[in-house]
Amino acid sequence: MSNPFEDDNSGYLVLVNDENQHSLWPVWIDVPAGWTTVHGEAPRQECLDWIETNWTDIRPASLLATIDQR
Amino acid sequence: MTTFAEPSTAATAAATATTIATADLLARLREVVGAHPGRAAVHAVDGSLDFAELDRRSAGLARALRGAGVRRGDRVGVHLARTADLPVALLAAWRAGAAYVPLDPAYPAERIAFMAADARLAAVVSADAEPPVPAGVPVLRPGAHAEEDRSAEFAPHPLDSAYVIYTSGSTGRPKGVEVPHGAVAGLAAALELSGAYRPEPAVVAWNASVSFDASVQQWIRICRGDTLVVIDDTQRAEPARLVRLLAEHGVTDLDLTPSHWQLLREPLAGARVPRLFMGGEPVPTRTWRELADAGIDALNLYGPTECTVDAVTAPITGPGPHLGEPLPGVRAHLLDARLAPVTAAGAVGELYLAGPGLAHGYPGHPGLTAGRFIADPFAPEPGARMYRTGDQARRSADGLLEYVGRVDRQVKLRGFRIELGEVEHALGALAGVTAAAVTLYEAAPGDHRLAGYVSGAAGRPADLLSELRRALPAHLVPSTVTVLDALPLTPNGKVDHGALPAPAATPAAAEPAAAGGVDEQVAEVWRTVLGVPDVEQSDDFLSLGGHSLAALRVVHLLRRKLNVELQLRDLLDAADLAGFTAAVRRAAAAGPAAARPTLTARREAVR
Repeated sequence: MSNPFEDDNSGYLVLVNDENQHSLWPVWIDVPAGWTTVHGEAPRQECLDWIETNWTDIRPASLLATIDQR
Repeated sequence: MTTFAEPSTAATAAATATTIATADLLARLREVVGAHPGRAAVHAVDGSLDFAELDRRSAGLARALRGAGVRRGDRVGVHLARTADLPVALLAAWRAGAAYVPLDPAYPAERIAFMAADARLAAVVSADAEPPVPAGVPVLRPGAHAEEDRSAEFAPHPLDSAYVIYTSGSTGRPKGVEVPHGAVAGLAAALELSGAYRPEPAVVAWNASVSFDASVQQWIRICRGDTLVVIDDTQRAEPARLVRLLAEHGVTDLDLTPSHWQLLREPLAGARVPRLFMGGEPVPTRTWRELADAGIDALNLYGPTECTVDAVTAPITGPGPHLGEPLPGVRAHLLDARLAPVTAAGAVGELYLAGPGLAHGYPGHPGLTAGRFIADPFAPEPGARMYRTGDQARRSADGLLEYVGRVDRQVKLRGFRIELGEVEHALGALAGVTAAAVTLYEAAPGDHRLAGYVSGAAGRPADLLSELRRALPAHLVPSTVTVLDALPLTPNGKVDHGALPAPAATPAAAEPAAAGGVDEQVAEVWRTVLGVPDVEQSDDFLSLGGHSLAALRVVHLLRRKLNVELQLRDLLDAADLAGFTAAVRRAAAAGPAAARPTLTARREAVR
């Protein structure tokens, strides 16, 4: 059984939610509510590289905001 | 107090409509300390602590950590053996506002140093003067105690990180999984709501290593007022001793892997069997039926580290293994390759999990995180994520969720989660090795092992294995390494794992058993258990790669084969094969082993 997140020949998007959590997303499946496309359509590896560059701390944004206030 | 509202969805697996009220665990602990200061909190080899003492020590260490510069959002390494210091240090990390990172002192120094650097630790609690952590990281003794601190008691937000636990990583390095406090508090609440944790105070054996997340559901029970019995490595390695310990403290709840149960079932026969929490690997059909038929109070718990220990649970009853139903708050989806729900009975899908138990992800690995923790199209609330487990499952005709296998090359071996790719990377990095492959093979029915294969001008397999032991924890080191001229390849140039030969050092299982005398039979058992082609009378068990579970198997097999009353000590105290064989002869002269008793139910209440 193939997985829609592991297909090197398909196009992908990078989605972001309110907590700045990022999700890889297959371009051919509807984007779920509460998520915004910030990159793509692009090949899978390019999307992953983009995420590595642009999402540096994987913790939720609301948490990081309160930690930074200390 | 935080409330997670989890409305039901039209999900494929039955999602439970539940609202879980989860008080943070430190607040719950404060209530227990106030109400029952004299109740036993911890029993361990190095002593016992009541709740007042646990509170005093963990508060003192927390203040010392803050004095060393630890702040909210930081990470604290815990480099301690299985002693009373361990729960003190874990709670102290939390009370200082930090997440804890377990650093098992038994791991190779190289591995510990990697995890310490990767997690960017702010401090380490260690009984060693110089643990293998980066220079400049403050090291505190577990007994460190600071009195003066102006800061108030730390009350974690549900999103504050509680721990980072490292798991095997397919790209060659272990990867941390960062889990928030809300998920841990939610786990405790869900296990209470489901009835897995009973309302009355329990006596809980802490069996799993703190390096694995199964330990979380064991040790956090201290925060609800349960008594923790910390099992140390030697007690753990010797079933008869462990069983005596369970009786001595009146242990009511025991977590273990099905593999560990196989070693305990005989010594436990006739004794009062605690409630069993089984996880870490699928329960074999034979074990399931044995427990169900005997009426043993046992639960099957399934869940990846990424979903905070447990996601799906079933009482071990009925005809055969199944995963059960999602815990309160967990949503489980069985999805196909188009991300559509799999509804037909018997059809295989991949299991996706959602709910407040999800980890933050893999710190330092945003791409990996974004590929596994993905947007959840089935969530009642917008912007939620779900975790892609890589586990395949199906619904049986009568609606039970059954485990099928993996979509990738992750394996479970004696409860250990292993990425074969990580072992391949480590093997491939050894001098002289040009290519490496690792597979799981069945040396004898039910006896699964890792087999390594290398090509290149590599050294002797025994040397490769001993080099590997310096880099990897014992559970990741293969039983055998086979040197090949070249690895077999598929037409598109990848290693063809199916075409790899049987391991070169396959134990001589085909030889007729009991052919020789006692000498030959003991040697035969060593070869079988250790997976080596030859043993010499001067060989030492441990230096041939024997570990505690292997030692137990040797004793177990010889008890069966020769009907002798052997103890683990007989093997561990022997200098070499000759010495052990002599001990076996003495045991044989002393008389036959006690008859194997049948397992009896001692269930007190049926839920």
